[in-house]
Amino acid sequence: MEKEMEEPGQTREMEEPVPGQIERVEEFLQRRCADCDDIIVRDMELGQGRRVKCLVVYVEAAAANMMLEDSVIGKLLNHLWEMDGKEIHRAVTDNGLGISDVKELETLGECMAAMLAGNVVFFLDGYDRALKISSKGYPGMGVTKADSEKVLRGSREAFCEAVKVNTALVRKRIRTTKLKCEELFLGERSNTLVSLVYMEGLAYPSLLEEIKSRLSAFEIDGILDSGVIEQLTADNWYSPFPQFQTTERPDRAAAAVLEGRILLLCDNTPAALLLPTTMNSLLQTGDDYYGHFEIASLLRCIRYLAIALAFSLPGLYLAVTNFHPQILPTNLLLSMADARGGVPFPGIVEVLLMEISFELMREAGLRMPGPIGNMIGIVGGLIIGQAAVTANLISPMIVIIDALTALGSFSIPNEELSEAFRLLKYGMIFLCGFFGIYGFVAGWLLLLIHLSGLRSFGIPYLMPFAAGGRDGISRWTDGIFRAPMRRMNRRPVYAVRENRRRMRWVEADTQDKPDGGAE
Amino acid sequence: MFSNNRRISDRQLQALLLADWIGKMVLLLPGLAGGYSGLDLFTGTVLGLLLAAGGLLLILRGAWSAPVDYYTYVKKQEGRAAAGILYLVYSVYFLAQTVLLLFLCGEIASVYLLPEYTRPVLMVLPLVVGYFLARGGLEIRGRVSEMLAWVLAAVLLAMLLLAAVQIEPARLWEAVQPAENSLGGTGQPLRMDLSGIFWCVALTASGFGSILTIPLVLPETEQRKGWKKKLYLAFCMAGIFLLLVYLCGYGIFGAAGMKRLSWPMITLMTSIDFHGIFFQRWDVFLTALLLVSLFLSTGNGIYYMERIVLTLREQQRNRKRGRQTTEAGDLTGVNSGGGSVRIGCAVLAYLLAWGAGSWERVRFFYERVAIWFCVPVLALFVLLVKRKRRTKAVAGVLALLTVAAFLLTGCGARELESRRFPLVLELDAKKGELILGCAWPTVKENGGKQSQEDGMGGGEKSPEAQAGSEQDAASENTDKQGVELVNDERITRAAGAGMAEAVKNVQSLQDRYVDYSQVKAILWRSGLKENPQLEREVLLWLEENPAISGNILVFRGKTQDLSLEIIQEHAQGQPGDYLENLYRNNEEFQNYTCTLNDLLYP
Repeated sequence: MEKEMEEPGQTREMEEPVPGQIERVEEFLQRRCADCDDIIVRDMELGQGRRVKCLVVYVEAAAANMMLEDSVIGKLLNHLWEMDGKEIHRAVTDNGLGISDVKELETLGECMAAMLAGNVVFFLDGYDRALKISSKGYPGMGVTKADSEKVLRGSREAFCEAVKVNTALVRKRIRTTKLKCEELFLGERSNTLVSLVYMEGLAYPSLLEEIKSRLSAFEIDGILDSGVIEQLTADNWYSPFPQFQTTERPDRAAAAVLEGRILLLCDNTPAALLLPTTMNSLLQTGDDYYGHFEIASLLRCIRYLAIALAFSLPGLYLAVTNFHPQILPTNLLLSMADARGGVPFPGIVEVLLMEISFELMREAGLRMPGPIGNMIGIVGGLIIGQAAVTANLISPMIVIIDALTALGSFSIPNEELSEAFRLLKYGMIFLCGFFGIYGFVAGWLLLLIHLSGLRSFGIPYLMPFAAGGRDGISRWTDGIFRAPMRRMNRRPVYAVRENRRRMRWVEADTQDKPDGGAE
Repeated sequence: MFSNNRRISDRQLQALLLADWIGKMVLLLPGLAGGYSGLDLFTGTVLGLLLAAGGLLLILRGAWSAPVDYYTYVKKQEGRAAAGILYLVYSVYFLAQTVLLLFLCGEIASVYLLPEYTRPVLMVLPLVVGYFLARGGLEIRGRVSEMLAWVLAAVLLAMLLLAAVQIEPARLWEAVQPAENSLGGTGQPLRMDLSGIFWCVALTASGFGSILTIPLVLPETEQRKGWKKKLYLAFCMAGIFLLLVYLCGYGIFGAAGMKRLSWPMITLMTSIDFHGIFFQRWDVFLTALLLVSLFLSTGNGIYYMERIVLTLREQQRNRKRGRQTTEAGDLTGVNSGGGSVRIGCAVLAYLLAWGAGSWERVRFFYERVAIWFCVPVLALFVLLVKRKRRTKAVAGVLALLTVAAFLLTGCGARELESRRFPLVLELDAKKGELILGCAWPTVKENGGKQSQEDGMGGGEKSPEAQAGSEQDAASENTDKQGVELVNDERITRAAGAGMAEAVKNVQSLQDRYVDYSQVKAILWRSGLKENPQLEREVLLWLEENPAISGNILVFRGKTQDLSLEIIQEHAQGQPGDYLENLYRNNEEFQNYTCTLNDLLYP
C-alpha cells in the first residue's frame, strides 16, 4: 500500500524530540491541528509574575472539565499558578508535586499519540519533555450486560469499547503478573490501540510471534473493528467459517487465556478475539463449565444436532419428498402429498422462497429499531406464513421445516459459525434438490473435507474429533460430551505441552502452592 | 505448537483403510461374486482373507523408519527400470479401481436412488468429492476418514446384525445343495470347483488391495506404539463385515437368490422392517452410507494416481537434468503441477468410466487388469516400505463438470403431488393376458379442508366433480378379451400381454406418475397361479423393481373372498393398512399369506 499518509518530512518531524521553546511547540501544534476544532491548544502563563509559559493540548470531549479543581490537571495547574517561577521547572522535572498519574514524553510523535488517545499533554517552556496526564478518555459506553451471549449461570458483564477497561475486566479475573498485556497500534490513520493478552508460560511463544507477525504484515488506513483484523490475519481467508472466536464476555475470555489461548482486544470493539480456535470451542458456551456435566453434555448434543438441522434439514426434506418417498410412512406421505396439492411451485423453489423470506425477516428484525423490530416476528410468522399457506403458495410442511431450520441456526452459540452454516445450507438445498440423498451424502462429505482442511494458527479446526487425543483432551472429555469437572485436569492443545496440567487434588499433608496452584 | 508436518496418525491410517474396505466388503465384493456357488464362495473368501492377512503381516513386518521413499529404495535395490515398472503398475491399478468405483457409484445411484438420471451425470458427484479429497492430501483424507469410518462401521454393523435375525439355517444349507425348483435356477445342484474357489480367493484378496498402499503412506504416518495392532483391527473388522454379508445374503435369499441378485445387501435392506422406528424403508439409508465409503475410496484412487504420476514425472525430469536423488529421496520438484495432474487423472478415470458403457465391461476390465495382473505384481514388489516426502499440492478447483452436470440434468425431481401411490396390487391372468389392478388411497377430509375440485387431496376428486369430469374415463369397460377394466379414483385395472405391458397400460390411464414404493400387499389370484410362465414373469418384474419391498404381503389363497372393490369398501381409504391388519389379526388369512421374499426365494 502506498504510504500516502505522511510525507517523509512529516514523519521525521514526529520523531523529533520535544523542543524546549514553547513557541516552536505551539507552532507545531497549530500546524498539525489546523481545522481540528475539537482539539484544544491552550497557552497560559503560570507562576508568580506569570512569567512561565506553558501549553496544554487535549481533545475537548476526551478531557472535558479538565480545568476542574479536583482533576489531576486542575490540581497541577493550580499548584503551578501559585508557585514561584523558578520553582516551577524543578517541580515539573522532578515531579515535585507528587502526581503519580503523569508520564514524560520525549518526542512530538509520542505527544500527538498521547493527545489523540484522549489524554492531556502539558508543555512547559524551557523543558524538553512533555507530560502526559491521563484523563477519563473518550466518551463511551461503560460495562454493560452481555446481549448476544446470554447464559443461565455466570457473570453478566460484557466488554465495552475501551480497550483499557476490557483489559482491566480480564485482569480482574486473573490476578497475576503472569498475565501479560502487550499493546500495539494498528491503522496508519486510525492508530487503533490493540492489546494482546496472554498467560506467560501457557501460551506458545511461537503463537504470539506468529500473531504479531501477521498483524505487522499489512498496512491499512484504519482498524475500526476487530473483524477487520480477523479477516486480514486468518489462515484460510476464503472460508466462511470463523477461525477466530469472538466473545463479549470477560469470563469467557479469561477462561480462554487460562487454556493457553491469546486474547486480542481492539479499541472501539466491545468484543475480544480468541485465538486459536476450533469448531468445538465455537460450540461451547460460558456456562458449559459452570453447571453439571450431564446437563452440559446434553446441551452440547443439542447444539451439534442444531448444526445438522441448520445445514441439511431443508435439503433432506427435498431429497426425501422428491426422490425417495418410500422412506416415509404411507399416512404421512399421503398427508404431505395432499398438503402440497395445488401449490404452484416445485419443491426446491418453495424451499428457497421460504429460506429467503426468513433471511429477509431476520435482517429486517435486526435493522428495525426497538419495538418495531419486535413486530417483524409477528408480521413474518402470522401474516406472511399463514397467509401464504392459506393462499396455497406454500405447503404447511415447509413452514415447519423452515422453522426447525431456523431454530437450529439460532441454537448455535457462535453467530459467525451459524452464519456459515446458513450460507452453506443453500448449497445443500441445490445438491439435494437435484440429486436427492446422493447429493446429501456428497454435500456432507464436501463440508467435512473443507472443515478438515481448516486450521487456526496451526490447530486443526476439527480437533478433538480429528487429529486429537494426543493432548489429554479427547472427544469424550471435552468434545460432544463434557467430562465431570474433577476429571478435566488437563488443558487443551492450546497450552504449551509442558504445562498441560491445570488441576490436581492437594494432599492433606502438603501446603497449597502459591498463584492458585497452577503449574 | 501443533505440528504442521502434514503427517497422519496411526489412528487415521487405520480409519483410512477401514473406510476404504467397508464399501467394498459390503457392496462390491458380493456384487462381483455373483455366479459362484456358496461353498466356492465361502471357501474362497476364507482363503482370501487369510491371504490378505498374510500380505498385511508381511508388509507391516517389513516396515521401517528409514527416511527413504519407496521409489528410491526400489530403484536402489532393483534398478530404475524395476522401480518405474512398479509405479506404472501402481498407476494402472489405481486407475482401474477409480474407474470401477466411479461406475459403481453411478450404477447404484441410477438403479436405487435416482432412476431419473443417467449414469454419466451421477458419476460426476463422486468425481467431484474424490477430487477434493485428493486435493486435501493425506492429511485431509485421514481426518475425514477418522471422523466417518467408525460411525459408518457401527451403523452398518447394527443394520447387518438386525438383518441377521432373519437368517434361516435351512437356506444356508442351500449354499451347498440348493433347491431344484428355485426361481431363476437351472434346476441343477451347484457344483464346487477349484477355479471358482481360486477366483473367489483372488476377488477377496484384491478387495483388500489398499494394503498395497501402506508402503506409500507409511513414511508419512506416525508410528507410535501399538500402531500395527490398529491396522490388524481394521482388517478384522472388514473381514467380519464380509463374512456377515455373505451369511445374511445366503441365509435370507438362499443360493439361487444370491446368484441372481446384483447387489444383495441393498435388496436385503428393502425388506428389513425395524418395528417401532419411524421410517419404513432402509435401503436408501444403507445405500447412502455405502456411498460415503465409495466416495472416500474414489478420493483415494485419484490421490494415489496423482502421487505416482508426479513421482514418475519428477524422476524423469531429474534424470534429464542429470540430478541424482539423495539418500533421503529428494523429490522437491514433485510438488509442481499437482493440480493439473490431479485434474487429468480424475478426468481420465471419468472418461474411461463413461466410455465403458456397461457394468459387465467395467467388471471385465477391472477383473483382468486389476485383479489378475496388478495386484499380484504389486504384491510381489511390496517387500519393504519407503518414505516419500510429502509435497504440497497446488490448489485447483473442479467446478466445470459440476456446473455442466447441473445444466445438463435440469431438475429430475418428481414432486409428491405428481405421483400416485397404489397401496394394493391385484395380479390375475385371464385368457393369456395379465391383469394388473391397483387400489389407490383416498385421503380423509380434515379441518374443513375438502379434497375436491382443485385436484387436492392427493388428486382425489369429489363425487360431483368426478361425475362431471370423468365421463370419458375408461371406467367399467371390457377389453377385447372380455376382461373387466376399471379406472376410477379408487381402483384401476388394466391388462397386458405381460407385466411390462400391463404396467404401461396402468400408467397410461393416469395423469400422474405411478409410484409403486408404497405397495403394502398383493392379491395373487388363482388365474395367475395357473399360468406359470406369466407368474414367473411377474415374479421377475417384482424382484427387479427396486421400488417394491421384499417384505410386502402376498395373499395367495382365499382371494376369492377378497377383491379390490370389497377391500376399498371396508378399508376407509387405506387398503394397504386394511390388508395388513387382516393378516395380523386373522389366523385364517395367515395360513394363506406369505411375503414376497418367501415367494421369490422359497
